[in-house]
Amino acid sequence: MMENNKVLININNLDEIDKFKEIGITNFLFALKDFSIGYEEFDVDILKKLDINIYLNINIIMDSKKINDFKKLIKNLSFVKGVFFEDIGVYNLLKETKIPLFWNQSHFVINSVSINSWLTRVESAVLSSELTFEEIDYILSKTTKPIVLPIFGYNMAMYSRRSLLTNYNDFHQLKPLNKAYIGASDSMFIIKENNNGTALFYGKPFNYYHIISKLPANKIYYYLFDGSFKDYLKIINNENIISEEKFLNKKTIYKLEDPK
Amino acid sequence: MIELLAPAGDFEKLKVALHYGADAVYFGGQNYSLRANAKNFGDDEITLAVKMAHSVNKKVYVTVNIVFHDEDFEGLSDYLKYLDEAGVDGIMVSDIAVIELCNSLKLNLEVYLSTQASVLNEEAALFYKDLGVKRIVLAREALKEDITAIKNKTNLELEAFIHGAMCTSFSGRCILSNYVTGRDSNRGGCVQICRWNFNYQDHKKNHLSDNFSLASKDLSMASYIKEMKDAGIYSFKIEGRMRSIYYIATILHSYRLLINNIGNKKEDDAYIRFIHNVLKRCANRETVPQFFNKIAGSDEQYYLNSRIELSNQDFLGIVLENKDNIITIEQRNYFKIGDEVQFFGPSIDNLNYKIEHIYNEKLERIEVANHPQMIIKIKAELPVLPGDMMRCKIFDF
Repeated sequence: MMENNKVLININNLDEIDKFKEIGITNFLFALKDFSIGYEEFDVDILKKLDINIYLNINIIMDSKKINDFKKLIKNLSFVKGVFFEDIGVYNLLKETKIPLFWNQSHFVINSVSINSWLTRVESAVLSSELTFEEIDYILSKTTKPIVLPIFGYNMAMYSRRSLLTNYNDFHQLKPLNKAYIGASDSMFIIKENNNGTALFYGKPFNYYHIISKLPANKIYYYLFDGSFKDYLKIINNENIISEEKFLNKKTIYKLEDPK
Repeated sequence: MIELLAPAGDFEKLKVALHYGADAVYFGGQNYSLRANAKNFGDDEITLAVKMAHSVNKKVYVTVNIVFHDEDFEGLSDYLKYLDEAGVDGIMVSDIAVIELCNSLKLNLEVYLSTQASVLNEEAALFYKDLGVKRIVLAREALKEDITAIKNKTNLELEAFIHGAMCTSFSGRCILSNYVTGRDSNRGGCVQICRWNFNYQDHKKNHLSDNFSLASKDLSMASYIKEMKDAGIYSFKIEGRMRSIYYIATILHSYRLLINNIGNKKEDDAYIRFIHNVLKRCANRETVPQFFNKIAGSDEQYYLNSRIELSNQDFLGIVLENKDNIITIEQRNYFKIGDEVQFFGPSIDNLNYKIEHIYNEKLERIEVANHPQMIIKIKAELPVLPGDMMRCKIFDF
């Protein structure tokens, strides 16, 4: 069971906020306009007007110009409850502010040693979604503060600075798109592009709701959910939902000798 | 000062890299390196490699740049201490846990931040500087203004790739291999899914093509060496721990000449264009500048009908000895009397020569050198030395 005050919903549609509020959820994560990729983006001025706990997702790697643009925005962020960051430069800029920070570096939040190092600097960290259950359980047993556990969503499998859709469509004189699907060897990926580059998400969501009861609730800061309200109701009611636990029960390998 | 940094996937490549003008070499050990399936170096070999490099006043860096799972930490402390005792000059790391472990162990070796960390701005660089990192290998996406800003704000040593394969993604931000093959990209298992062709559907899942491509052309920064130096790059890095000795020799030789020519009158002449041609022909994929002066676009990617995979037999042989005007060569590809060839090596730029006679090991005349690694001799008064290479003369200068 997840307590509502420990649920964090990644919002892709403002209309759904009230539905979540009606069932008692008050914490919401928003991708920040111009400083994120792969999610619906929201402008600071719109977010300021919402009467909810607002966390910002800043998930791009920033070049020098971008980090300086972000620097100018900091004075407008005092209303947020926390910032989830990918670029370490964002941490460096915000570390002296009172804004709680969440280490959310894609594919890097995968061992307890690094997490504990970061936990001396930040409020919490967001576990990467390509861990086995045993690894998640082990990390939770070792971390010195509660951490954020993604429980449902589409995992970003690749992030590029290149405009991969635009480049391809331009070359082949196809209609411009900012979202499409690509597939190879039984794997389908959702490909999304904006001015910050291109993100590929694995085509099926992961659903870790069923492992929550096996993990120590006191070690979880937030259960992070990225989906629609309808999906949310389905998962908490244990209804059937198309999903794939790609890594939860299967370790990745990295040497040719390993399969022997 | 500039450092030319070369890959050394094994001992043979290490020797070639040192011989052909690398100021430093980098390679991985048996564990913790992002080329899990390269030959890599065993512990005793690392000690030998360091001795060999230090004997000619060159440096050795070891990659410890996987992103660690908890199980990977076993043995890491001992390994780092071993590298330190072996005299390794620096290690390249991406995981904050490794940086802090190095600090706590009070090692003499320097800690460099791997490109896996994808640093593109001065604030991130300052964070790592505070952690004790001495050098940052910049993200491959770095623009000239990023390099300048990072250098000006941190005064850290900066290292950048100048030649070789490119990831389509930001380094470290891709687990396509994990999804498609179960192999962990960030622990050295990448199988380059980004070079596959994909079927392509629009947002309504209407089929558009079967040839969607994410693939990037390779990198060549030959035209920008001086600008990169002026922007603040200290170490110029060549990618390719799994490439051939001919590739390593050719690329190193070419960039060594480009670097040595910075600021002198040879910089813009036909000779430099000749070097560019040699560089382009050496790789098996098309090479272009990528980011530095722009965001890479469609010209920097491979698409249907535009992909050029080159494979050639330019590498004809390697000089084993030059004594009494008899040059002994180990053959690597077919050549015959009458062929026009070019010698190149650390002490000669490029030396054209027409094969007039070929002799076997017994100094008997033969017409062709047609057996792999056969030993042949040429009688000629040429200033070539052991280790110099002979290639087809494709371009002149």
